[in-house]
Amino acid sequence: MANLSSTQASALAQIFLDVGKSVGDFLFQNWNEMTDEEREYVSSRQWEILKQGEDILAFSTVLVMDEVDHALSEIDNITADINSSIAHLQNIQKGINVAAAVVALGSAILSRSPEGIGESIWQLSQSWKS
Amino acid sequence: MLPELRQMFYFAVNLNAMNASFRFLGSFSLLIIFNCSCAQLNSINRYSSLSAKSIQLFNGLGYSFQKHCEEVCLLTAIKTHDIERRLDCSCATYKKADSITFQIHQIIQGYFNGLAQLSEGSLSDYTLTQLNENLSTGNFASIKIAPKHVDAFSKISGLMLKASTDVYKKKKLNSFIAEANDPLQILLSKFEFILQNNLKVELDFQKEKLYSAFKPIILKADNTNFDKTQASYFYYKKLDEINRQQNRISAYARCLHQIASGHQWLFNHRHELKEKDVRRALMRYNQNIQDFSVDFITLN
Repeated sequence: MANLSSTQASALAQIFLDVGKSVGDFLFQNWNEMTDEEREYVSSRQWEILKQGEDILAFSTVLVMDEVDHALSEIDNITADINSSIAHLQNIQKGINVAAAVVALGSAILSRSPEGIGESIWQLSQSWKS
Repeated sequence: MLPELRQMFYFAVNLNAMNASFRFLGSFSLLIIFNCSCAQLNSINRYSSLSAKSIQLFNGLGYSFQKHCEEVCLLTAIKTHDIERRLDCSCATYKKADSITFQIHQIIQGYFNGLAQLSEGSLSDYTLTQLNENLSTGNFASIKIAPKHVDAFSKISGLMLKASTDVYKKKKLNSFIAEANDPLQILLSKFEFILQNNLKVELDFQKEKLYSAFKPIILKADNTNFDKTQASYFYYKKLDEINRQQNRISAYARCLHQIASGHQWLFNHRHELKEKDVRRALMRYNQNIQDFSVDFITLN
């Protein structure tokens, strides 16, 4: 378990910013296909993801991870894949699940739980592949 | 407006250089002890005065971690349609990040003021009041101050103190630059990182939150065209403001980068400084520093 360096934390915050934008694109592209409750839910998750990105920056120096480089690379790969096509998802429920899984990952990172981070990365990957 | 501003800036810089030259001529006897040629001293004085002037532009940045925190807090209230008698924002950690950034700015500013004065033989005028407080290690919002930053900070402080108490007046100016270079590069690099990777990135988040708060107003079918026009006007106005702020931060950071490169050049060539080379090399850095400073000013 190691602390994140300033550069690693900046990279992680950037990942959350990018995935937050993508979740926003998913929301606004599918606005007319969603119910009010779905919009509200996705909108709140997007706001949370952005807030988590800011918190990662704000608390960057106390965050910890197991095998930081490997974990960051895994998060980067899965979110890059999500960013490339989530906006055009036809399956609204899948988009909602992915947004919730990103929030769960952000919570695990900010609560400094290495086990939780590993589990959340796996969950996010499953939500995206399903 | 741009050419006039550019001219004004160049005029101010030239005027400063002229004043420095007159003061320089007036204190010629002092300069002999530096064992540097007049042309070298003049070039170093020009570079350090211009650097000090550019570093001072930080005071006109008009943005801070605390301001960012307050603006995001306001956006959250807008997004949730929440109105209270008083907007309650918890920005204490951001305020601390500002004070650390300010300290790093002050020590760098102090160093270049000192170098400018030393290169014209008047460092005894220099006051150390702004360097009283030491930097501490720790985490201050997104800023991490490591032992190497604290060490660099105290080395520059110590160097300034020695310089003001005559030690350097008996040595070559080159030794002063040589001793300062490593800690100065650490501090300049940290300062640039704080601005580009912390403060500017915070603004990226703010832009996305702005979009996320205003886009639904346009998409909601039951909103009137008037509502939508107002929302898009406010959105683009605010977006433009954030973009300008980011460009200002970038221009300032590029300026710091050029200042660091100029100092590194002086350090690398300290044993072989020839008048012509110093003048030519520093002129290039000076030109870049001036250009980025003008970019900064015109973005206001």
